[in-house]
Amino acid sequence: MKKTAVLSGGERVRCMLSRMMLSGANALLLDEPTNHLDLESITSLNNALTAFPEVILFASHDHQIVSTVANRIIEITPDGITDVMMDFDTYLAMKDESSSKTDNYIASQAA
Amino acid sequence: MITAANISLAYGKRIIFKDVNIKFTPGNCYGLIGANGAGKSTFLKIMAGKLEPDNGNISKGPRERIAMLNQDQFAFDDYTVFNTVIMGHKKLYKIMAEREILYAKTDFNEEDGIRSGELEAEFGEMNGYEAESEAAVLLNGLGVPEDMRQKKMRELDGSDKVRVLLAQALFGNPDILLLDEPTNHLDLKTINWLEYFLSRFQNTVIIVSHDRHFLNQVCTHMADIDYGKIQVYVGNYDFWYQASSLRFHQKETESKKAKAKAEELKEFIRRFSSNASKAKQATSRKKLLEKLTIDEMPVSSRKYPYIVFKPERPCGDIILEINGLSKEIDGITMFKDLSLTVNKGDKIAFVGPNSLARTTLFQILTGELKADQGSFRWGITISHAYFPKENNAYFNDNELDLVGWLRQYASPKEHESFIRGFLGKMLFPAKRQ
Repeated sequence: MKKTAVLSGGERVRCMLSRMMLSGANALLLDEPTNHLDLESITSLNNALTAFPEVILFASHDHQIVSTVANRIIEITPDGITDVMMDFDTYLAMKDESSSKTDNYIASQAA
Repeated sequence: MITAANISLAYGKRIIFKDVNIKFTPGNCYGLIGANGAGKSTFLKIMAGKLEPDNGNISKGPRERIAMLNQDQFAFDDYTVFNTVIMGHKKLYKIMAEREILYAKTDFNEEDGIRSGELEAEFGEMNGYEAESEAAVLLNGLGVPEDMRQKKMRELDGSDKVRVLLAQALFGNPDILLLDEPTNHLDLKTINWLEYFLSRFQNTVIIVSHDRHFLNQVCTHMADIDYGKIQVYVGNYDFWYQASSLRFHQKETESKKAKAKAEELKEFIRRFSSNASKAKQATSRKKLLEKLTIDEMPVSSRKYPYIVFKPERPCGDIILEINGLSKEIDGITMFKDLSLTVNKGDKIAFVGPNSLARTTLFQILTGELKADQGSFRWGITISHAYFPKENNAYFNDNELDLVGWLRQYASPKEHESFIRGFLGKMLFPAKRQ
């Protein structure tokens, strides 16, 4: 039997995911859930979040999780929020386009 | 090209590699994958010559240079950022240093002149004259600001050091590039730059990473470590994952069919071996049964936990409403006058550079923190569960075993097997629960 005091980072994360599984909750909030996880666990978590039928609010630096799970993207900035109903890759493409437009605008102003 | 021939390595009785033969060719980018502890980093170290295998050898072209991402953040503390990058190409750095000493001499004699000629020739051959601009391009791409480049490495924080060490590995167009978790501590923009860099890189690359998007973007091949062997597959990670689950299911079906056939035969033998007229037939079936080898599924070292979130009831129409929420931490604004309505079916990713703002918002919504201003309201049908970034507070009670720990969060009427089920799904073996 393993005491929780001696758990590794990855084992603690797996405990926290067990806890979330048994909660039966219909709204999940996850803050960087892939930290300390291996590729296999990340894949399983990704599949579970994609299949979840209700509401999820989350933050993750795992690009694939964000791009396959989210249908709405919110960026918190000091002046307010950007809030768009689209997937992550569309959001990145949109941002890219608007930033290069800004660059072009600046360039044309300078010329 | 780099080749591993008959590589074997064991730690005591534990076999890590057994007769591994593999060839990595230029123009390809290999993603080295395998379960935790399968030996991914160990294999990279063997390839780089930093670790001796028990048997076998690594060979590469005579003039080929290997570069490996340095994991030791303190190894270059006394050097400037710029020199640390150049040191990625040790020979070039040595010549550069000798040149500097030579040209600083006040009594530059004829012998020095001859030596300087030799050095310049070698320096030119190694693209030494472009070293400075190449280093600058790499540092720019990796987001190391210009004013940092003459600083000593010890003055940098961890995230900047990682970027410099990555620039060091990429510097000087190495023939073989070994990268162990290169995306750790990098932001999305820098990862994108690295993806672009590697996609244009012409030589051999071998990568260990848990970032599937990154592997998918850059890899042309997957090198899978399992059962002490390494098997190479064409394609990126997603392709490998699809193909391997398909293979697994095929094998499972075959094995089930074989087992069913064996059962059928056993049943026949049991029923008829006492019956004289059928005895001969039963004997022949017995022989058939002996010949039938049930293709046991190989025991993979790779294990996927079973994760599934089952809501007890669906969400009603009102999920979450946030009105004019504001919060400062240590005088810094996390967000101001934040309002939003969460709708049915929303899966919201909070993105952007400020991770503390996201964590703060989650902590307020789950009651761990109080907002300075504003309010929020969860719908009455909503039950929420929170996975925090920092989980230390959940593991303060040192005396609990895993079942005891998880029981705290279950309804008291639940049986122990219910709790053990969830731990099992997360791959905690029964005896360790």
